[in-house]
Order: sequence, then C-alpha cells, then structure tokens
Amino acid sequence: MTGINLNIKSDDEEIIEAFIKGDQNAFNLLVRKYQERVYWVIRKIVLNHDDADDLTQEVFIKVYSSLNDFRGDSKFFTYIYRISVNFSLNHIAKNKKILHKTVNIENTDVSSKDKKADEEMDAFERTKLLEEAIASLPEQQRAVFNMRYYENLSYDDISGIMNKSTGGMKANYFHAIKNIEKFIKKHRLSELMEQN
Amino acid sequence: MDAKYNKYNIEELKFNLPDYISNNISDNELSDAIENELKINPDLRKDLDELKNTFSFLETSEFAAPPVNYFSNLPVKINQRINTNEQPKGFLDRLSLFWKILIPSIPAIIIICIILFNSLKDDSTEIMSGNRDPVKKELIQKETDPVENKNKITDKLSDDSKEKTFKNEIHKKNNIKRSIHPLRNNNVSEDLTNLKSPDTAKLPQIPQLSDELLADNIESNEDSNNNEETDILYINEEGEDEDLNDEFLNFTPAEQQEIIDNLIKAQI
Repeated sequence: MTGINLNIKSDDEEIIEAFIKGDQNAFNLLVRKYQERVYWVIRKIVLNHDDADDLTQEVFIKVYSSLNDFRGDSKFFTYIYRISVNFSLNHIAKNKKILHKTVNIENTDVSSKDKKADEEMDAFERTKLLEEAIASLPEQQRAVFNMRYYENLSYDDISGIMNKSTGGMKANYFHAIKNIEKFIKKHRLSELMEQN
Repeated sequence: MDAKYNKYNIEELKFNLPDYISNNISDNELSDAIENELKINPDLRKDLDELKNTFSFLETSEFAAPPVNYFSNLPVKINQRINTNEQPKGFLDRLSLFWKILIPSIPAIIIICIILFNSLKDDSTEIMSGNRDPVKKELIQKETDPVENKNKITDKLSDDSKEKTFKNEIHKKNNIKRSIHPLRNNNVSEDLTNLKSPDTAKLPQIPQLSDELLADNIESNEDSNNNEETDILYINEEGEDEDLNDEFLNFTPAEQQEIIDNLIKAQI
C-alpha cells in the first residue's frame, strides 16, 4: 500500500503509479473507472453482449499484465482504447463468417416480422436494425464510427489508436455513415416491397 | 466561389460534413467553405441530407443494455480471472510448445533411430563382406543356395560311398589274399598240404593256384606300401565315416531322407 487515498476521480497517473508500487486496489479503481466505456466500445464493435463481456475482461487482464510497461507517452485512456479496439477487430476477423451468418438470419427475421413504417418502428426493431447496419460495415469503418460517434474521440486520438492518418479517419467516418444510410434504405425498400 | 475557400477540395469538404452536422468543426474557415459549397453543389447537399437522416435514426436507436448489476460484478470476474492466470501452472503447462510436441514424440524418434541404425548396420556388413561386388555376390549366393549345397553334399557323399565301396572291395580282396597266403596263415598252408595229400590229381591245380596267389602276393608284397596305405585308408575311412555320420546327423530329417534317396538312386 502506498498510503495515498485514491478514488475514482483520482488522476490516471496517480492510480497507475500506486499500482506499479504494488497497490492492488489501484487496479480495481482503474477497472471501475473505465469498465463501462471499455465495454461499450467493444460492444458496439462486436455487437454481442457475451462477446463484449469476455473481451472486456481480457482487455483488463492485458492491462494488468502490461501496466508496468506503460510509459505514459499517451493518455491511459488512449492506451486502453487501443487495446479494446484491437481486441474487438481481432475478434471480428476470427468470427467473420459466423457473424455474417447470424446477420443474415436476423435480417430474415426482421423483414418477416412487422410491416410498420419507419416512424412506427419500436425500440427493439430499431436496435436490431442499428446493430445490423453497424455489423454490415467494414471492420475499420465500424471502429472509427464507434469512436467518433459514440465516444466523441477526436480524429487525432482515433488516428493514434488506429495508427492511420487523420484524413483517413475522417474519410472512414463519412463512408461509415453513408453505408449505414444505404443499409437502412435497403431495409426500408424491402419492407415496402413486402407491404405491396 | 471565394478564392480563400479554394484550398479545400470537394472530397475534403464532403468528409467534414458529419462534423458540420454535429457542430464539431472548430475551424470557421472550413465551416464557411462547406456552407458556400452547399449553396452551389447539389450533390454535396444530397450527401448532407442523407447524413442528417442517418444521424436522426442513430439518435433514436440504442443498443440493448447489458444485464442489471453487470458492471458491479465485472471487477470481481476480472480479479477471478487474473488470480486463475496467476496460479502456479503444472509442469506441462510451463513447458513451451516445442517441448510439448517433442516430449510425446521421443519414443517415435527412438524407434526411427533404431530402424535407421539397423539398416545402416546391415549395409555396412554387406560392404565389409564384399557383397556389393556382383561376382562375389554371385559366388556367395551359390554357396548359400541350399538346393545346390544339398546336391553337392549328395554328390560328395555318393563319391565317398563309391570310394568306400571300392576300398571295401580292395579290403576284401586283401583279406582273401591274406587268408590264402601261406606265410601269413598256417591254416592255409595246412589246407594246402591237406590238399596235396589226398588227391594228387588235383595237385597241378593247386601250385598253379598258389603260384598265382603267390604272384599276386608278391605283387601285393611289392605293393606293401600300397597295402599299408590301404590299411591307412581303411583306418582313415573309419574316421571319415565318423565325420560323415556326424555330418549326416547334422542334416534335418528331410535332408537325410534326400541323401538316402540319392544314394539309392546311385545304386550304392
């Protein structure tokens, strides 16, 4: 123990320093501070709670084992984000075929369910459509979209995480939104065709 | 279009549209450039409308929330996994992948080594014995050919038997000579005297016969060395017979039968 009174509002540097000195509670503080953000970053990329749960745990285990090597060159937040995004993208790459199959099955379910207009869509259907739309995105676009739209990360932070140029990240974000729009349009069109 | 906005190309303005919609552009110059371009560029306007529609959909759509108390239990789960990972691993777990593969395959490697060693040993033996030389190989093959060997042995045996028979005949002949020889056998001389006394008519025959026998005997005396040799041969014959018997007994019953058959065929 370091004797410093740490809490969830303490600076990351202080918490990390305490952990390196052997304070086990410091790590628990880091988990409590970042678990929700890490979970949602992962969840919005992998689109599945069970996978997101498993990957979130893996991210923190990775942080626990490598925190001694953290030099503080970047923000801890960026550091943990990078791990989360990389773990998520690796997971998608591994389960690419399975994910596509799942999405196709879910597509069939949605199209055959209700014949409502877009405005009348209930929350459940919207969530499904959103997840399907995001699932249809290429891996990099999906990651960038989540970081920019949901996490409000700056392009500089995103480019640091993805190791790509800022301009490239802007392009990825624009194309991600356009692709979501195309997916929704396609879905609506198929619904209209079924109604007629 | 104003010259100061020319530094932004259409693509650049397009890629900044999402941030323009969400008021995230801090650069006023860029924001003005987008607004000016939207007035004159219907394609960019169309992109803007589409993006706005998508954002409105995204704003009204949410991901399904995780189970209740998920985040309060998550640190416990993480700590449990960390503790599990930190527990001392067993001997096999600590081994690297290389050793994990190598250890089970050691018996197979040993077996392969033994087989290779044996095959190399055989090769080296062949080289040492000169079996690689085709002429020598042929000779060895001939020597090792069981059928030829049997025939050879049979021939040898038949030759030996013939010789033996021949020697027996000589021996018998010599015995007869010995039995008739007056100097060697008194009974024979008595017989001769007896022969002389009762029937003189037969006398001329007897000296003739004795002369012949004597002549034969002289010849045989002259060839005393031969006689001795015959005796030696006879003695040797017995020794050879023992050797042949031993040799004969060394054969398998089938081979012995074959030899006997060959001897019968040879009318010995």
